[in-house]
Order: sequence, then C-alpha cells, then structure tokens
Amino acid sequence: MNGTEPSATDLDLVRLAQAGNVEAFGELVERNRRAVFRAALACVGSPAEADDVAQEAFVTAYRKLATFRGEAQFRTWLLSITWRKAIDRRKSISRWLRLTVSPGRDDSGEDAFDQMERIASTSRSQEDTVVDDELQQNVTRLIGTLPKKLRDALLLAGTGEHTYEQISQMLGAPLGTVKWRVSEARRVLKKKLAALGYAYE
Amino acid sequence: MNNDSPWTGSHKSPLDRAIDRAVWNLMHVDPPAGLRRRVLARLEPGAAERRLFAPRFAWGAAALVILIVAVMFTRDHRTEPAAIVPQPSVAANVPPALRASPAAPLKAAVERGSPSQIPSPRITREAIPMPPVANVFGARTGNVSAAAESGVEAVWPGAENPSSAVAPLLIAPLTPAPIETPAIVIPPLVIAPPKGGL
Repeated sequence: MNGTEPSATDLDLVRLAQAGNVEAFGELVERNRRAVFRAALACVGSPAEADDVAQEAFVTAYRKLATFRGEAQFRTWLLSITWRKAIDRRKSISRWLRLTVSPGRDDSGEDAFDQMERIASTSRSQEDTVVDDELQQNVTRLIGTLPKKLRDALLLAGTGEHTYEQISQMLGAPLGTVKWRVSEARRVLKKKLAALGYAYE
Repeated sequence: MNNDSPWTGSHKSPLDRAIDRAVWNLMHVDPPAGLRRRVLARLEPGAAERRLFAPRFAWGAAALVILIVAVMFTRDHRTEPAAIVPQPSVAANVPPALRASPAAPLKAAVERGSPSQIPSPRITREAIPMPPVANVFGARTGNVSAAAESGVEAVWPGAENPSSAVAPLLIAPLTPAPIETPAIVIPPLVIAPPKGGL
C-alpha cells in the first residue's frame, strides 16, 4: 500500500503525496470525496457538474500540494479549492441549482430519499404526517429562490459533511455570519411557506 | 461529522422538518463511483505533461529559431542587388523551356486536361543573357519579292538583266549663294511745330 495504511492521518498522507506518492493522494481522495462532491453540489446543483468540479478540485489540489504547509486542516484547504472551482463553474454555466435533481444512489443501492426516510422513521410522530409531498416540492422550489449567500450557507450546512468552521473558510465569511445566514435562510423559507398557507409554527 | 456540525440543531416545527428534509434530499447525494480512479487517471497524464514540458519547450524554441534564421536568410538573399539587366523584359524572364517553344508546354498540359500542371512562368531577378542576334534577313540578293495573288513569287524583271539596272542617281552639289537683302532707308523723323506756337 506504499505507506498509506488506514491509520495514517491526512497530514501523513499529504507528506507522502508531496514526496510523489500518488497512492497516498488517492487515499486522500477517498477520504474526502464525499465532502468535496457535496460542497460542489451545493454550489452547482447538478451531480454531473459537481462530479466534474470535484475532479478538477482534486487535480488542482494535487498540483498545488507543495504549497500546503499544514497550518490548516487538509480538508479545509481542499474544500476552499473546491468552492472556488465550483463558483467558477457556476458562473460559466450561468445556471444554478437544478432543484429537480434526482436523488443519487450510494453503493448500497439506497437513494438519498430512502436514507432520509429510514433515519426519520425512528422518531416519526403524528405531526410528521403533515409534511406531505406538496410541501416538500414547495420547500425545494423556494430554496431555489433564496439569495445566493443564504442558499449556499443553508445547503452547505445541510450536507452533513462540513462544519461551520469549514463553511466559514469556504465562503470567506466569519463564523457568526455563516450561522446567521443559515438561520436567516430558514426564517425566509418559513415566511414564504406561511405566505403559501402553511402553518408557521 | 463532529459536534460543530450545523445540522445537529433540533427544529421542532413541521416547517423546520420540511426544510431539513428538502435540504437533505438535495444534498445527500454520493459522488458517482470511481471518483478516485478518475482523479488518479487525470493525475498521471498531468505528471507526464510536466515531464515533457521542458523538452517540448526546447523543441519549440529550436524550431522557432530555425524558422527565424530561415526567414532572415531568405530575405537577405532576396534583397541582394540584382545584376543589371540592360533590357529587363518579361520575355527575358521566361524560363528557357518556355522560350524554346512557348506554346508547347501549355498545349501539352491542356491536352492532358490538368490545369494544375500548366507550368507557370516564374519571375526571377536573375540575368538571362540574350543570345547574339545574327542577320535575320539572310544574305543580300538583288531579288525583290512581292506578294502575288497566285502565290507565285514575283521577280522584278530588272534583276535578271543587269543592263537594265537603274543608273545611280547623281546629285549635283549645291553651292550656297549669299543672301542679298535690299537696304532699308528710314526717312528722318520731322516734327512740325503746332499751330499757334508753343
């Protein structure tokens, strides 16, 4: 395995990759692929575009690996590269999130919606039955109408792969600002949903 | 996920749950299989490109230098003062093959049916010496030819009989005579006094 045992830290793998060990970088790709992909997905909205952005981000990171000094976490550094690539892609394709994106499937064959259903079913209450498909469609549509700054923060926070600190680094905004944007995004969504006749509280 | 995860908060309202669910559906998509393989596949050509970059650059630079030298050499060669040609004419610039029989190559090319094979005369600055021009009229004879309707060459009758040859014309020398011009007499101008006195 060329010194890329599972117990190696990201920094160990970075040092090996800086020495020319491509397999070590491959292990870094494996460890961070989901975080990178979802960050790109939050920005460009399309899984196919996000896959391209993720590849570009990893290739760019590999070529800039010599500039990584280890002051920050490798994932944070990698996610910053990813976000810049994703922003460039979003500008170039001049379209944003395709909210009609079909849920992807992981290796187990279980799509994202199934995962959500499985996890939520453990604590499903009578109140959850109110959340019907129509509401889901409206929420999804309204997310697309949010200002970019609020939308980006909300979706990055919803990936389940990024901490507020990492989101702050990606967006180049203070931590408190990121938290406010997420909260504000939710408030705006609920306000719009209330305007559509859904119960605010 | 650590404790700093932004999605660990509990949202109680149905709308909060709906938002969570919608965001989850949008974001919880896994990357397509084989991302690692695709990334590594893109890294290998990149490394190869970096290795080939310096030699490629060197080859490119060498080719550029050769091109520049060739262009400069060609220009110098073209700007050399051409030999002075007394009578520069288009005919003198026609290649010898065309000069020998101007229409022959053209006619042959046309007969072959390939216009691209028609030789095009090159314009050159090289001096092509003209061949010495001999007497194109041939040896002198006393015969005078003239066109006849019958196509038979007419012969001046006097040419066969030397006795009837035209005598040479004698021209008497002219003697210049002085030009005599009559003397012009100019009468003196007489001015009469006005009537009544001055």
